[in-house]
Amino acid sequence: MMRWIKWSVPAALTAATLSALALQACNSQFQRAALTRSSPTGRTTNLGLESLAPEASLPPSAPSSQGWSPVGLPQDTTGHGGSFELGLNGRERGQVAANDSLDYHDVPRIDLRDALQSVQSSSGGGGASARSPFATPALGDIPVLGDAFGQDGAKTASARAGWTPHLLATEELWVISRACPPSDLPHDDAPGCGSLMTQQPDASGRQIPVAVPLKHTDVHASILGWIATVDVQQQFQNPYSSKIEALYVFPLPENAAVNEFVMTIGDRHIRGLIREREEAKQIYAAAKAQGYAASLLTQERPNIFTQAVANIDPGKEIDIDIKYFHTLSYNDGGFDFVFPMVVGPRFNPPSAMSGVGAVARGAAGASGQQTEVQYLRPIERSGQDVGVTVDIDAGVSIERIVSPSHEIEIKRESDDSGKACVRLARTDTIPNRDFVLRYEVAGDQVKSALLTQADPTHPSKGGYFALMVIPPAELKRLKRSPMEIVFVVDRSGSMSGQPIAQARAAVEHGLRRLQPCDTFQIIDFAESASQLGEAPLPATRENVERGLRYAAGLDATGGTYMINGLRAALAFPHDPTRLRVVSFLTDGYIGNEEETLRILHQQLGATRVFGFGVSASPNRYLLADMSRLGRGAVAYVGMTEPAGEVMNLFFDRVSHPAMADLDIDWGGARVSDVFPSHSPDLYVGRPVVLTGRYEGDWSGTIRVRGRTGGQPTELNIPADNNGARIVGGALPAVWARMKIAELADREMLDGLADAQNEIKRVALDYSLMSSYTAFVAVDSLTRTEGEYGTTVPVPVRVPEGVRYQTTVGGTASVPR
Amino acid sequence: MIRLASMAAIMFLALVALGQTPPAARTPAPAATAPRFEAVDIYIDSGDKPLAAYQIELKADAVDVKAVGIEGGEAPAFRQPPYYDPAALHENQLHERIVLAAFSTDRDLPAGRTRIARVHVQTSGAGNQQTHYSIKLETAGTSDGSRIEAKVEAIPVRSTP
Repeated sequence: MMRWIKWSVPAALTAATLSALALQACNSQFQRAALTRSSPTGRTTNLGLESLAPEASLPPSAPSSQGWSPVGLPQDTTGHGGSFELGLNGRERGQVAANDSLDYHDVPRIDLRDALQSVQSSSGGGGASARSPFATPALGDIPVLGDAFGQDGAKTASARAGWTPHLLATEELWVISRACPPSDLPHDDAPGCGSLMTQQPDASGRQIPVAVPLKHTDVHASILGWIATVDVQQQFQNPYSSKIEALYVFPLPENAAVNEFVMTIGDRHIRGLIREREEAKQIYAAAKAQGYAASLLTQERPNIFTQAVANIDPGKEIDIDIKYFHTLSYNDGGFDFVFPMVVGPRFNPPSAMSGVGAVARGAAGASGQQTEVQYLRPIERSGQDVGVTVDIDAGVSIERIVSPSHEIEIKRESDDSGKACVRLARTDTIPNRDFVLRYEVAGDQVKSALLTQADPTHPSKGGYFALMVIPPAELKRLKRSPMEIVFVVDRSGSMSGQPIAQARAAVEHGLRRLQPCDTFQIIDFAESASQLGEAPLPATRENVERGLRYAAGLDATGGTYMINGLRAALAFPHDPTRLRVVSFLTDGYIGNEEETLRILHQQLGATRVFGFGVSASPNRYLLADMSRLGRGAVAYVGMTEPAGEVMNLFFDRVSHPAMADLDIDWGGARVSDVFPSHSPDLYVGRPVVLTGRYEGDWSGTIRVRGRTGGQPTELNIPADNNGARIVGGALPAVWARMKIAELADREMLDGLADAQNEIKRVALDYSLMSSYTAFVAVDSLTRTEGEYGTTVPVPVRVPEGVRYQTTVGGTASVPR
Repeated sequence: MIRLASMAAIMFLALVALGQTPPAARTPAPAATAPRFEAVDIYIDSGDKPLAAYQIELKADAVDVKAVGIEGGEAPAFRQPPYYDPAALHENQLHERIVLAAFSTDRDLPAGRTRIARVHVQTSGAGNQQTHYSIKLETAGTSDGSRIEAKVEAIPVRSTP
């Protein structure tokens, strides 16, 4: 049974460090509330709150702030504490922000219980029927809450910093404590008996340990210019008493050219070979069946991969090293290096036959999808952690290095050096959100540039090139046409909490940036699509206010039928006097990406699509492709980043016309196989990268011609392949990867008949992962004994800010 | 009634005997048809010259041999697995052809006969059949780029059961 403790907070409470508080209440049930806290360093941390499960709804006669009923503590005799939630009830403040998932893994439950007991006992006890008020302690006096947030804003269990919330009169803070029922506790959580369980005690509370085959992931990236070479080492272990097969579904950047794979057993290193996918799977299956140590890497999506490692003996380790190349994106003055950490829980419509399932740990097969990700429940923790090191050689001086996602340590040669080494801080190694690193260079240092690499097999015959084209500065001086802006907001269950709050904030900022000559529409979708009005509204003050109210009322629940939102956004008649811009705000957590992209391609017309990834781990493949096919651009809004800033940059981008219809004169070189084959439009702050093959020598000038606002524009780039050269195989791999992406597009969108064979040929020739190829490695000299090992999928945490209950499900089965 | 119960018991026992094998105790395919896994050790004898780089070509005489892993050598300088030419690997659908190459910048380079790589293969041949390989040394060199007149050999290895 769940019980409630509530304090009524006098209006005289002073705000020590909290920055804002907002609440939405609905009838007799709490929805969600947001607390944010500003640290002395200026970091804002969304504390987030859980919305209540139905069984936790308030009694019909919710007490007012005048009187309240302390109900006491849950009868928890298990000693496991339980979960707790903070709830707020009060008057809407005008700006609504919904946040989610106070990460109570960092919070000692026992301290909460002790604190509540002490409060209760100090007030002379209180049973369910007591009407007398408790003493009203400052929340900072509750050790658990003080522990959660240290002086620097980081969530540290050991830091003790009191804080008090800033509440309006009549607002009430509720602390709901829920015991963890004994039946939720697994008794035998591993294959075999008497297994060694990985124990991950923390300093302050109990956690349910979960034995996992993946111990650690180590990432080392080297950035030269705007090309990254990344080594990922996954350390698999067998903590059980019988041999196992480990299965791990994980993300990589959507444009990663994965071309090396090495399995390490002890001091022996075995390089895997690229094979056709089915052939590789057969080799792996045969080796596994016969007891050989073997590994298989397959691609499920351009950004989702499955690693299988067979026949790991008890107590043994097998490491897998993966290497890939990719180009960095340059956005609004900074280069972004992103390493995705976790696959977000996907929604698969009933029609999706090859989606990506999201299931609870131990519930293999529950989704019916071929590819499944198992998620830890909120009370579970594995020992899996990640280390990231990035060596940057930017080639120009770096002004600033930041990470909006993680705590980092930076070492630089000098303040004006273009070199730096960045490491993930040891206090921030839980892989539950994408690692984003941004380094900024002075705007005038970054110029359009050509990189070349000779063909290693025939260096005298030419080679590969990559050209980064920076938009001409004069684009910023040109004014845009009136716009018709359509905001399409994903309000499905995975957006519940922090993501929908960020999306609402972004839309609100966008509405306030509209000009009177613009029109706008708001469409929201989950299982069905709704919209503000039958047609786009003129951006009058009254209509903007109406839009603000509509956006403020957006709630998140239900499945993600993105196609419904897409169709609604592209369906209504387009005003030919305006530039139609559709901005999608979503985490992209769907399993039917191809179907969605196909429909976008078919119905796009004259619309430009801009994607906003709203999540700590968005589906970057989907968002990047939507924007690319939609001739727009993509931006990402993390959970701690100000949504308004991202929206401001978006408006800066669309407020000036793009340089469109690009035509390139390559100067003296003979160029072929350029990808993308149709050059994207150039937007302010967003360069494009083209790769291709060349013969002969570069000389003279590369001329990029296009039209801006109907007027011809030209951009000149010095062409000199005696300049920047790349070594190490990066450019051939990057070029081949872009060719594969283009072939995959043509197969998906146009039904190109021979695309599959062509993709295979390119992937096999360049030793690249693709949908039709896979890496396999077998150690034929080590054969384990016994029958088939148990397959143990590596469970992962849901991305930060994503609610387990509204995605994977609140009724997760107990592992077998 | 008793007769019916006895028949049911007999039928039940028969069903159990006929193949209600626990999933964990699946029986592997018969040895005659299941693929086999074995390895080929590659040795280079560079005489008294320290070996810094090499490139070799390995071919199997049987049509059903596939390389499934490339392991490094015994000397620390060549402990990391060599690179392979993917285009060469996939150009011939009938006979596997593997081109391996490696170089080392270590100060301590091996001289004499040393195992520089091991190729793990899958073959569908019968267990008592020995797969034969042909091997060619395309080049071998010292750290200053001088060519070495070296010898190369490929020696099949069977796994330890």
